[in-house]
Amino acid sequence: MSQSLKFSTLALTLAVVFVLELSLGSVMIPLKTVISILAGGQDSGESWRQIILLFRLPRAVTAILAGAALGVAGLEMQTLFRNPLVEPYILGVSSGASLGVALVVMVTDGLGWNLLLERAGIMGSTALVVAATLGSLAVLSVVLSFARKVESNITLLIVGLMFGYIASSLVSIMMQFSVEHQMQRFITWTFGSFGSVTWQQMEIFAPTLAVGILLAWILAKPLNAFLLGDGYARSMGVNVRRVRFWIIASSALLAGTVTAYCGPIAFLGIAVPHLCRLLLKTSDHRTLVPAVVLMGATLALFADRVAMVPGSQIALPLNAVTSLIGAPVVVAVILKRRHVMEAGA
Amino acid sequence: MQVSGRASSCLALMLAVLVGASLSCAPKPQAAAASTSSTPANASSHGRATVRYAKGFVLEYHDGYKVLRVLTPWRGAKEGFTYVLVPRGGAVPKLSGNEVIIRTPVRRFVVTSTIYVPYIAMLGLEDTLVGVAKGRMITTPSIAKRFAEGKIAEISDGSGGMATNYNMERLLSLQPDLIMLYGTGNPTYDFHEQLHAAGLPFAINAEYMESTPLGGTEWMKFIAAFFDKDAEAEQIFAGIAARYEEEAAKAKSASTRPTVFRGMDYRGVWFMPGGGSYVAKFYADAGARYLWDDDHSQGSMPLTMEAVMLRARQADFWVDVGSCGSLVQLAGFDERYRLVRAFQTGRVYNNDARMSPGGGNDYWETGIANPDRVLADLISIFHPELKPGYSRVWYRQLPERGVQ
Repeated sequence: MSQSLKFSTLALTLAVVFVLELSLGSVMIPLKTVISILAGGQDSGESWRQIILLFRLPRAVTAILAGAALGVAGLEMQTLFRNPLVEPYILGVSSGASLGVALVVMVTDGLGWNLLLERAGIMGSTALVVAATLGSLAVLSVVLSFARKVESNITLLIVGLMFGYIASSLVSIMMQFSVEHQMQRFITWTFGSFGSVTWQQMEIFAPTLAVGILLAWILAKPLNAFLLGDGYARSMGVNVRRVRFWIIASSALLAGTVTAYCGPIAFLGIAVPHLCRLLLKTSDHRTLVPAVVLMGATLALFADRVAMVPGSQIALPLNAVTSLIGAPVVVAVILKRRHVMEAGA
Repeated sequence: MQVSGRASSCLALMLAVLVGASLSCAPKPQAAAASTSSTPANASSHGRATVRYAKGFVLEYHDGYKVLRVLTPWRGAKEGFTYVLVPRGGAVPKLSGNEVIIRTPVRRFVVTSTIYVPYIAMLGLEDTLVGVAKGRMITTPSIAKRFAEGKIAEISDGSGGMATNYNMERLLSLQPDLIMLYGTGNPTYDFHEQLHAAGLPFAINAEYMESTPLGGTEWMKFIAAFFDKDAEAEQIFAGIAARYEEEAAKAKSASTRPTVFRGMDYRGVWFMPGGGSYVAKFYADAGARYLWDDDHSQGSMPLTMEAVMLRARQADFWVDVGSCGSLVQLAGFDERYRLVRAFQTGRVYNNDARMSPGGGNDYWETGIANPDRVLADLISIFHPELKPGYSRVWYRQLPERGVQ
């Protein structure tokens, strides 16, 4: 199969899953109606139009963007650290976000707090997004300042991991002193969901992710050089520290934004780059970045579709589904190839 | 022989000293407790209670002892618990051996949930309560006061509910006669295995498993039995049940059945009580139609927001919206809540009108113990014409903007 045929297949699969996402759910809406509603038709019932336009469409767009973003962020991190098991959250981005959310939910949650937010014009879900963003920015700024100073990637990896541990410890100490409904609210945040991004939030969510993905696309060439090691990249004329800074910035922007709006989404960031390397038999980032975007979007949509249990009113935790799909994929990939970072078999 | 005999008598002496020391160190039970609950030889002299609404426990009277059986301590439980209540000084009956013997009346009582606290006050047993999980959550005035005075200890270090947070040393030092707690079947939350290992007497209360409000409240007879207050519980509960039935009969006469649903979306999952739950029964008895009454499950269903919106878009009433204090705050969590008709007409009610300074909601304390008054609140929401001039206790209508 030629590369362009593979890309067409990926795009087609994404289109099919997208249509399924819109059509299936707690109620089955016929394909024809879905298309007519998307085209702006007014003939179908008001409730179906609202379901499609206000619930399923933003959910599907969120899943597409989040899946693509996590895939790209994972690809960048795996290449930077030349480690197949690295995920987008490895530098502590999601731990920082959890810390921010935990602070808002557990230290300050309650009627009085909600009233304060209302006066300040910040609303419940926005407060969580802001808190998560600030939390991941805090961890990220520490990691980035280290990235400017230290030479070794492993040192950087350890710094990121350690900050992640510190953030998680603070979260568990806070959980110890929270009351039940606060704890419940925090735990449900960690479940992850594509369903809570509304059109209003999309105005920030979508452009931010677009910038992150564009940045990764621009970095495709230096990323290729990194595959063969820092020394090789340097001999190719790559300014290692500067490029490393931008790789981390791009991946953190992607993973941090997704975590802020959707909660920590498991496994897509690890599994998607592997799947693309296997499918396209290449390690060229100029091919991999767009492939990861398509594959990440498709898998995220598919996982969401499964989590919503078509034909029922029931919702499963999204992270349980992404891990159930992702884990066997990673095992299969690792069993099939000796050098997982290389292209092909 | 001589040596070993001396050794054993020495050991006995040491034990005696130890036991004596620990007894003298222990705080003495309140004198008032001793006077309110004299110790008769025969439990039946204290009157009896008959279980009418609760399905989860059985109370049997025998000569010289009582038997309490908890049939299903938690969802999916394979076995129940049997408690044999024997008056202090009375002979322990010979039974199968799987029963737990509890001496009555209990004098040093510990509870791990605020749900049981109002019953203690209703039965006049304040003096017996020596420990709670978290004191600052308590809203019942007489007991909140005793906690503030330092007469009640806190046995949970972290947030209530987690088994790992209990302070076993503090609990042991309280020397409780009985610890009442609920079970979930999940070892992360369940504490009774640890109590069993420590040899502490405990009773599992499965009030939350009842499918009717009156069934839940009738567990006050379960609590009362340990204190030989059976007759008092019978009388208090009879009053509650009569008032509840009276209110329900009034609601039945209403000409309309407005639709109602409850709760909020938590990150893509909306936990909706099943149509067989006590919540559904409350709404039905208050003259409303619960939108999920076609379902018969007793627990909660994890629904998608889409599914809830499909069914609840035209709902007349929306109740129990977590910690939201205004419509603006509610919409702040998700803009799409505005689609619900009850939101548009402002008929959104929350059960948070009475909160303790520590963040405890009195609805879950006094409200659960007084379902007749909760029902009156609900009827005044769904059918204000039936409750002219009534002022609600726990429910309040959400204002457009927050006020304080």
